[in-house]
Amino acid sequence: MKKYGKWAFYLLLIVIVALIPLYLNRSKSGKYTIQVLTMAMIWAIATLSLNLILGYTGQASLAHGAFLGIGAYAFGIFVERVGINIWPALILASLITAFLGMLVGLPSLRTKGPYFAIVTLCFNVIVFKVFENWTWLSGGLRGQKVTMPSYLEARWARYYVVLGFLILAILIERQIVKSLLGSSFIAIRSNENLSEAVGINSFRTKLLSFTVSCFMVGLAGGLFAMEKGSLDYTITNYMYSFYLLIYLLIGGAATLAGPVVGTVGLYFLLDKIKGIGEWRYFIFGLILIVVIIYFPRGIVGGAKQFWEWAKKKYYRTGEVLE
Amino acid sequence: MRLKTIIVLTVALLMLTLGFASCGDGGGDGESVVVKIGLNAPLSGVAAGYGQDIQAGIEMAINEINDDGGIKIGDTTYTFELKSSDDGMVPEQALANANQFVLEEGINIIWDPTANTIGPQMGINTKAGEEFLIMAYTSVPLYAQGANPLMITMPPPFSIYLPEWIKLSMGSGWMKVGMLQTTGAYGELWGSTFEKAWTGAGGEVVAKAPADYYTTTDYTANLTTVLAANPDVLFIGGPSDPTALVIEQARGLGFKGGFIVIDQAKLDDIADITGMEALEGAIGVLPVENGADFWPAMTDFTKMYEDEYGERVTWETAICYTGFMILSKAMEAAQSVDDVEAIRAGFADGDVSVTSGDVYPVGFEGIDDETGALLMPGTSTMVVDGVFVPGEPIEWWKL
Amino acid sequence: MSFFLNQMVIGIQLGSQYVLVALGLTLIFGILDISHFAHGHMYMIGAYLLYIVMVLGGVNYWLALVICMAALSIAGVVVERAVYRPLRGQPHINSFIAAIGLILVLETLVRGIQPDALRVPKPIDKNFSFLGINMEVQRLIVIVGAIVFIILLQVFIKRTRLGTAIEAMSQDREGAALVGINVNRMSALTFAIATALAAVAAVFMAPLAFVSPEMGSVLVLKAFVIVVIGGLGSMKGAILGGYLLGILEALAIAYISSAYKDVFAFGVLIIILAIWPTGIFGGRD
Repeated sequence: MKKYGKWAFYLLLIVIVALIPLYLNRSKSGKYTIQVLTMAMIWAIATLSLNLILGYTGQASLAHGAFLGIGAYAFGIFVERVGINIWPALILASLITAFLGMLVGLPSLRTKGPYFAIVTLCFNVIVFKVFENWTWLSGGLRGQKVTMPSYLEARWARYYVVLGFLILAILIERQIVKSLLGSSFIAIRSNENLSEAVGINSFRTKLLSFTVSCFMVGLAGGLFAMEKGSLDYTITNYMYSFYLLIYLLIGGAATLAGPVVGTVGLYFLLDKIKGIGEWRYFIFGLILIVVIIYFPRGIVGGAKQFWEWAKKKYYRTGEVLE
Repeated sequence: MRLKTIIVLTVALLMLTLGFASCGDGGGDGESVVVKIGLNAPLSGVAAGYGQDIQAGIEMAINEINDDGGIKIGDTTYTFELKSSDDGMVPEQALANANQFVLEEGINIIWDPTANTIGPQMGINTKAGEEFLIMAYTSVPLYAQGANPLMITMPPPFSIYLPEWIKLSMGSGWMKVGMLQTTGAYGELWGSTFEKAWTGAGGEVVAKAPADYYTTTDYTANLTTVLAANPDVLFIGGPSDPTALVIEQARGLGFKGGFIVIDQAKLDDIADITGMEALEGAIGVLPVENGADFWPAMTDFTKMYEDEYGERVTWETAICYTGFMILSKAMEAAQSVDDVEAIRAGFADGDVSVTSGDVYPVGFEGIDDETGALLMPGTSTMVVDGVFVPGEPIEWWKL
Repeated sequence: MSFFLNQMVIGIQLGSQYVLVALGLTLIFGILDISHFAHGHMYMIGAYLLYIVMVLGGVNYWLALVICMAALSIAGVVVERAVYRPLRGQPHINSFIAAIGLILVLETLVRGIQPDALRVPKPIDKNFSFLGINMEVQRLIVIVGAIVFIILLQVFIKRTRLGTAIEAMSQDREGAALVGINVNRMSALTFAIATALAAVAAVFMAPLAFVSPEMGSVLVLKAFVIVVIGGLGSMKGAILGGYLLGILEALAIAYISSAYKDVFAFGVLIIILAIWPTGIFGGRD
């Protein structure tokens, strides 16, 4: 019974989210909000991918900005220069990103902890510099155009496409985490040496986690290209790796709702306070420090903690009353 | 379970209301006489000063027009209001800003001063129902060559300076050039355009060591590399401050030759830092104050700007100010403030795009109706004996 | 040959500032296990302090060096106390996020107050020529000054009681606490020393470049590369790695490609770590 209630709740949530564009699409400014929400959901998929390797497997990748850009460019180049239909192009782009991720993972996953973070960050800087200077690849000043088929011209259409992929991403991640494989991820996160002792090949498991994570972020990149309609080298900037990290930790790492809540919330907030100019980064920085000190488990982690605490308190007072 | 459901539902509801609230205020009423103009520019970060110069030019024009009672079309009087949005020179952000301008603010004229953010907007500005006119402040030639039906470019394309600069340089006996301009797509485009013209004129490129002017703080390793090939002249430039550093460090390493400075760098700003002595033999775009040699109104404009903003005026400000004046006249000619196609056509209506140098700080001589490029003569200069010696105005559209 | 020698000297000079910044980072990492990503921004604050003290205050350059070191070591202690100490014991990535927050705060604050890039005059505005090398005297100050401070730091670590306590703690934190070393005091001291070293780098380099809010962001990336190559927590590694990266960069500009120089620098790091996963000198895990 309890289980059905949970599923009913999720279904209700999906229905609400699916109904939003119907209301918003009536006005021009509503269309802009649809666009903001679509972008937020794309970033949420990227954050979910980081959650897999950082949140569950405990390896802090700072290269996900680069992989997002690689996925986006692969998609753009397949669609525009090769002339492939967008759906196979989306899968191909994700596969290429996953393959590159595996190649990067082979040397870098031999390192641990902060070493891994720095190696992946360096890879991101390299990719950024290559896209900045190699204008044939990046498309130069005017960037890489990505033409979408006419049925994706309306913003609400892309909203539903992205929403579908977001739900898919959550479901896949949920399946992985609940499976035996997910347990080995978590085992490596909590103690890598111990996990080796119980027979987990930690290197291969980490590599698998990283490759799947890169597949997902490549997908997010492809969707990014689809939504924007044009790309340029700044999409590979390592600042985006930092942003993903922030979205994830503020939302709550190693939870399924955390990445989505953190990304959509922060993205929406930053868009709304755009008017106050540069000082928004000042406020953002302060919030970041305060949140990480006082709510190290993020919004969802904190809410869960609060929920446990409230439940205990509720039942205890209940007992007393009886 | 119930508590959790309530919490999650509240969050979802909160998000929903936020979404709805944000679209409540956007609609706008058609009867308003205030016309909003959008500015999509770097207002934070390394290029913030550049964006603010553009902003100042538009604001000065708007204030002047509004103080005079606005423009009259039919029986309605229209005044202007500038809405600025920071894009940090990131195209993705510029696209989002442009969409916000058009959809939330009902804006249909957007100013943009950076080449890399203009490109992506050209992909969305002709979409039915969401059209907007791009007022492009860029000297990148490919934009002035008519790539978009709803775009106006203001400054002259940079390629027009090259014949004059090469003539000045080779006239001084400098045949060997070392290239140390900024990296990235913009620097590369400048570099390849220059290299083609230079070798075409019989010159030789002896060394290349471009540097990222936005992140490099020490150019010595690049300079020694280039100077080892004994060039007569250095092709340099990016933003003004680092360009000044390159010149200073080149002189510090004993380089005695000249400099060809790309148009992004302002020779007067560089001179403030290095002094005129280090600038001897520098070839580039004429300092803005010397524009008074061609357009007398520049003197008053310079004074007016200094009184208001407390610093020296820039070409960006002067050109955008004049560009806005032309825009308002184009609106009058089109008899509309929101039909962007008519406004675009209005620019070519009679003498709309011609500004007299006695009234405006920049003398535009019309518009190329094919490409949407306003015709501003190029102004080049060379530093000889510590003085900026202006060249003849380059009327590039006649060449 | 003289050209090659010239590039080597420039490489050593580039490396000098890297070493000074990387030494601070590696100290902080070795002792506190923190990736202090905002270290480059402390360097930037140091350069602005120099501007205030020397250009606005009219103080002599060498005296300004001392003042900046003192002021920045206090700033370092404040940062440790306010931001990092509450995070002690948390996963490594949390202090990294806090550092990003700190970067955003410092950079926007400085740019909000003074948006324009500033210049600091050279204390000795002369050039010198030696063996066909022609360069500013200030570069010599950077090279010699860096060596002096590296030696001073080594003497402090090896010869003083406080210094040996720091070294002991970087090698074995729990053990150090057991033998009665005050961990809080040592953390504060480490931050003070590390940030003072950043101030030294800033004071030496500022007259050669512009003082701008973003001057530290690229530098800290490179310093991290150095620290990682050398092995996190290894001072020997930071010194060697710093000079190595400087020389590598100068040679890459001369002989390979100036636009892609960072690609080579960071590419070398990936290769090195693929061979030695904890750096050349095998720092802590």
